[in-house]
Amino acid sequence: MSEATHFSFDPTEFAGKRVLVTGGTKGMGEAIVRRLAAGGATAATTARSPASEGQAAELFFLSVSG
Amino acid sequence: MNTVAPGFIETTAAHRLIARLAVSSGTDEVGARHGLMDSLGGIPIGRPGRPEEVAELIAFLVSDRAASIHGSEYVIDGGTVPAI
Repeated sequence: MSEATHFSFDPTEFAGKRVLVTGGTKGMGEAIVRRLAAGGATAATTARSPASEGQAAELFFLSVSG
Repeated sequence: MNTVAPGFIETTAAHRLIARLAVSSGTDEVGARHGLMDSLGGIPIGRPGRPEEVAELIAFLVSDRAASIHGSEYVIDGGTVPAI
């Protein structure tokens, strides 16, 4: 299950779009944030836990408590 | 508004569960993964989904290509056979 899955995509498809993905620092949420950002969107996300190393360059974080 | 209903997706958390089950049941991760799949009634594609596959569906649904799709639920579960 460790092989990476790469699909082709248009890197400008979501240019100018702003998206909010809740729970976007892990798992499916992270994959969604990365995919939309790769498509040119400005992605914001929320998380209940701190970001992992290496995430901050690509993701804008809105921290929420609890 | 559309909704996405994922089945067994092997996220990092799900993988940790598989690893724990492997330890607790004395098998390996392949065995634990298949045990989980079997408990769901089986997954016809033979593996859990990947987070990136769910992200692709989301990317499509939020794109202009899906502009006319409304009020739909998309199950993305590899054809999981209902266990009930």
